[in-house]
Amino acid sequence: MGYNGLFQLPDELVLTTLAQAFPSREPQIRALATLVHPSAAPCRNLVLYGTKSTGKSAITAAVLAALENDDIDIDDNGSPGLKFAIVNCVECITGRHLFETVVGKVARALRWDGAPLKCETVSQLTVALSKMLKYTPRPDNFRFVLVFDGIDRQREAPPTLLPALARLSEIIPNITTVFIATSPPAGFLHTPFVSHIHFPNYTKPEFVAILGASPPTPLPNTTQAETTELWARFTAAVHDALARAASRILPSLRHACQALWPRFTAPILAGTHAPREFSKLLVAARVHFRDERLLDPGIVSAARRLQTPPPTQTPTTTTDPSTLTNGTVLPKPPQPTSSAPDLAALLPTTARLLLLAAYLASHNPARHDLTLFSTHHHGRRRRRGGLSVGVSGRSNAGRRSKHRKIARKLLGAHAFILERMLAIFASVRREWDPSGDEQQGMDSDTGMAIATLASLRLLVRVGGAGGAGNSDPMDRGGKWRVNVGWEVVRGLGRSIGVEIEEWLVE
Amino acid sequence: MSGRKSNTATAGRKRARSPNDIEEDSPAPISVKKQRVKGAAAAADEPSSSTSPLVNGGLSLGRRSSARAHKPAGKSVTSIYDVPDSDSEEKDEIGDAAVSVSHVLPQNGVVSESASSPVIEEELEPEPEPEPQPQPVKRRGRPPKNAQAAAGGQEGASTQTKPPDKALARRKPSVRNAAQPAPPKLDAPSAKATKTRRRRDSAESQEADHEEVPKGILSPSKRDSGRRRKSVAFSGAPHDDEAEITFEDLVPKVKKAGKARGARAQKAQEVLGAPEDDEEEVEEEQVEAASGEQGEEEEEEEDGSDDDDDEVCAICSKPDSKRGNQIVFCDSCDTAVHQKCYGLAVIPKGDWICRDCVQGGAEVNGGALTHEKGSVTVAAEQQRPDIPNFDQHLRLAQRVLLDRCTGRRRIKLRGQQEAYDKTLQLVEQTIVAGEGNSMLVIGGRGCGKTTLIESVVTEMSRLHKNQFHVVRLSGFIHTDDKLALREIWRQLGKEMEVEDEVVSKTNNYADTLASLLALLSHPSELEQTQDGVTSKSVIFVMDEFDLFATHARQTLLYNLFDIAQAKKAPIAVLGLTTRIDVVESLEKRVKSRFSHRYVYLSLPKSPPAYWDICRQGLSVDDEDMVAEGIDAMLEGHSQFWEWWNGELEALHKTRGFLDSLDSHFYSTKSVSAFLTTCILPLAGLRPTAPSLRVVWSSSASAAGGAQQKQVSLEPADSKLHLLESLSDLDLSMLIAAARLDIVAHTDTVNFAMAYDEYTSLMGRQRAQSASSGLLALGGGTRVWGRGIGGIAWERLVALGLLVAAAPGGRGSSGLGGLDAKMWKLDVALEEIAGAVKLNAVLARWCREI
Repeated sequence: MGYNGLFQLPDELVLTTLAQAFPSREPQIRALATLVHPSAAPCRNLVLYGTKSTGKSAITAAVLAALENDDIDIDDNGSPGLKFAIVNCVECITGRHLFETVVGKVARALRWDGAPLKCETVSQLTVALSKMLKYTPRPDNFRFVLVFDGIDRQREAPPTLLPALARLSEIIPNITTVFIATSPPAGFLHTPFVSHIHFPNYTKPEFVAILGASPPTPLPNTTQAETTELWARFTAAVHDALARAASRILPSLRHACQALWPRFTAPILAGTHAPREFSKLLVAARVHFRDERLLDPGIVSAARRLQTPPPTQTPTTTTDPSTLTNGTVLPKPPQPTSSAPDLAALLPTTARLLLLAAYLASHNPARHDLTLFSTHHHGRRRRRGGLSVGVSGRSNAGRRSKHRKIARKLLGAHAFILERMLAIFASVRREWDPSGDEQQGMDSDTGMAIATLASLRLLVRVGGAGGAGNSDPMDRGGKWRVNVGWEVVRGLGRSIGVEIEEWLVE
Repeated sequence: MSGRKSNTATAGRKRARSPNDIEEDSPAPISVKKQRVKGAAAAADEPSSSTSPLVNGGLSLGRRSSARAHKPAGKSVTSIYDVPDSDSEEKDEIGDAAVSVSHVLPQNGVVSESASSPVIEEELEPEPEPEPQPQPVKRRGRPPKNAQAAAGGQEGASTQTKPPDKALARRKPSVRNAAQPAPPKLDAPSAKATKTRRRRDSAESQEADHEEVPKGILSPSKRDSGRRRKSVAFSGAPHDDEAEITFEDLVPKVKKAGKARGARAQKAQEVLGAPEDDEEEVEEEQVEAASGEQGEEEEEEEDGSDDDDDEVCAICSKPDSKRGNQIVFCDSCDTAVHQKCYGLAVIPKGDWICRDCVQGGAEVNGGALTHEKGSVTVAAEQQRPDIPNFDQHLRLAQRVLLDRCTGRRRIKLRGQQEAYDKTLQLVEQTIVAGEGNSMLVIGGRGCGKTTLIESVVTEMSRLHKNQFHVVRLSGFIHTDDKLALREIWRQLGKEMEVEDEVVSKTNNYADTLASLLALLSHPSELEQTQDGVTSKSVIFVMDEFDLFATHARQTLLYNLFDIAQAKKAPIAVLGLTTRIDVVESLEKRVKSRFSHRYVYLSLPKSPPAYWDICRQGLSVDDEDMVAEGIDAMLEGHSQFWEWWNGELEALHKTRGFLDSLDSHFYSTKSVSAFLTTCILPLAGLRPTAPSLRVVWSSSASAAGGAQQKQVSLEPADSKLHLLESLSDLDLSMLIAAARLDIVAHTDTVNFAMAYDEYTSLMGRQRAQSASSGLLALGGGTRVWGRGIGGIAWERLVALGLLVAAAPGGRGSSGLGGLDAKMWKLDVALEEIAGAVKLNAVLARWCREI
């Protein structure tokens, strides 16, 4: 065997550059480069796994691109070539889409100018790839790396898809298949053994280091160095307050940092604090650190959010730093965010009543209906049914020792027959809506309200004919289910002065 | 007396303030320095620190005089500054505080000067030399005063200043020096020096009982062996070169400076014993101090380039030092080499020791270096055997062995001779005698079925070249009979060189089958008329045979077995499968045509047998050398392999290696699993570090240790590794859901239930912690809103920790949204606590039902 046959690690310089570009990922980069480089230890299949945003795809792309370019440089030494194609499986809807994407990308990477091949099955994919890679003469150590990114999220993948893709490298010797997945189950490729490289989530120092690599532009009255240092400590604080507590992924942390930074540095801009006074700044910005919208960004609330950060609050909280440092000032409760659209303002009264009735029908067992709604014995309806209610779950603490009963409202909506809902509606209508007395019996109004609710999908038809739509929506035997949650219903009830909680049995 | 008292108060306040500073410095390491900087700035611009400079000066003066007055009182005088002789941080800070107080003086120098007693003046006299300080020292930012202080410290009996202290002490004036010329205020910064000197004088006068008095300010230690030399070194010109060298050593440390400042400060205290180290560390501290915190890197850069101008690489003799190819200096022998010339990819953080020093210098440097595992060179330079062409041999061996480990070269089948013979005979009968045969090869994954078949095919093609075709099918790829037939047709067409039109013409299933049957039958029927001559045989290798049995009506299997049995054509059908009951899945008509010949392959039965197979991944047998393309004629061949096998045997005897081997044997018996673990160690071998043993042990220790230089190629055991990357809220939701499983006796949960449980748990927790006064600001007891909880829930779903309970069931058709959809938990409550390190609250939720 000639010189080509000797073992050689990928160029150190390339790896070092990459390791600097991706902080705290050096072992992974080195292992990956070793396992795909043609003259190092190219393996057949390789699995990269790890949770979201740990750099799997980015590092794979970077390493492969670097190795490919690197090989071009030293190609005249007879060094082997490395080509690669990365297929994002999430973008491929069907199997055929995936296979043809693969073939297309491989052809592009190889500058193959054959006719585009039709690929419907793995078998055809194998043939197409063999044509390009196996039957075409290639240099001895030529290596093609085929990356399936997010293969675990391929839609409607047959169970044989992954093992078949893993067999590609058996059939075509100079191919390396790389699978990128979140959490592959053991032996999912059905091959004896595959090298796995784990990309663990970042730790706090690593998060800080990564964010520190891109510090914000310095504030007008500070130097770049001060800003960088403040940024580092700031990101650490954000990590502790938000990322570790609720959302430990890099994009979310980065977003939170960027969103918080202007508010955090407002006192510096205002000249109240120097950039060195980190703890004072932190105390001043404590309110912002409790803002949940940082982690749950929405489009709608953006405008409102811009107003709510209270710059007026900043001076007031900072005027007395001594008390703040002692922790005597209680944290302000975060303002409740009413993200749900206000249904009460949108629906007519009848529809509201019907929705409430539907909710009761969905969440109360039918056997309690008599107790709840009948006026026969007592002349009045017995709210709460006279049963041991305790919606809060506190009252039956004694029973908890055995098995706690799960509140029925947590279990989701049950189906009910339309007739039953209408009966409930009829029985509570007068009590809930005394003003609507004169409309009693106007059935068309009720029908309209039901149709409105159904078209808004607040009430959903269930059962066989539900989706088909061929059955009469006014069929009183039809089964329905309410499609709104507890919060909405409670708000709705209060809008017409009804505490819906009192009408729930459990 | 009020002066003394208020002074104590000042110091007390300083001390009181310092913990605050530390708190706010969450990266603790910087704290000391930060505090000092603050101390300097404090007097000037921070109104909150009520000690104005003026007061300060007055106080210190007052203290001074009082100190003098009370000197004989000994103990009481030294109450503040006489810290016990130890290394603890706190005391340093106190000392610092004191020092900074004294350094504030220069700014209101007038006061102090006017107040200075004649004693101070006279103390100042004997130290005129500092102003004309030599250039190199100055460049390093050493303040003039240092020399005096050092000199003074040295002449004092048994006063050894701790270097960090000293460094700190020097820092402040040096910053100031940059701005103002030294001489005018020289008296002021040297106040400390004078003070010490004064005390020292008094100490000398009454040595016996007041030895501890001079300790006060400089917080000395009893060791003074290295101390003297050091102070001389800094003041005298002859030591300039030494100073430079130590400075150049900083180059590799530049990066470290940012992160591990505090660590280094500690280290500086630890390594006090060795004079060399001692100096270095002090120097570093100084440099950092001199340029402030930010400027330091630039300054070091430019100094580095200065120095590099005079230093040439010991290998290429060129002085240029660029980024990426800097000249690095050995921290032990000052050899200067280029990174590239020396093969040093990264400038190591921490000390870098050249290979020569590493070999000889372990004992010189004490145990300190052995801890630095980061520098590969330390461990790497082992007994490189003296073998001609060693590099080439090693790389060739690596190539072969790595190819074997990654599965690109087949390893030989061991201990399966019987199966091999049986298969070989069957295939040979087909090829030579034109028999039709069928056989199943059954064995677990990775036991060598494919290896067996491929070695038989290889052997056959060696013996009977061009007399047979091989068709390879895989149940995973050819998922129905139509595809399989087309593939057979394609492979045969390719091998038989049938024209493309014929292949492409036969488009439908029936056509394909018909023409295939014709292709297979026709020649043999012709052959039958002339005896003795056989047609070309076809060997069908059907991987994942059990999947072919799932195809509709098993048409393909029926036809193949039928052809094989009816001797229409000489074909051999070899089915490879892992399922031992595969015959049961055959239809009756198919089963009756199957020859019922089986070959069973077993996994190695004992650890020695296992090692015998695995050994092929780590060594090449003599008889295989030629086959593997290893040139035995190359000089040093036999020596190399002798040495290599010796290494291997030694490795095989080591504990860690045996453990790894055993664990693989007892858990999976998979050869390829073990070979995969060999890949990275093998790839890590270098001609400079050829010992497999060392590489192995380092990688093994890395796998368990915190260093994590190497990654393990093993797959994850279970989903539990995901828990490590979850946030507290994710874990809380998971635990809440897992609790419901037990508490409420449900096996499915939805988000509403889990969130309800989470809030109730959190409420209880808050009540408890509020009552015990532990309600902290942090996220520990913070109740997150429903929206964030929903995001966490979705993350758990995305990670597969929650599995949809009923795919088409209630809630799946968009009803109730997130709240109502039911999920099953994929982890149990008791697993969670074991898989990840939980905080106290979550751990209790796991414990207390």
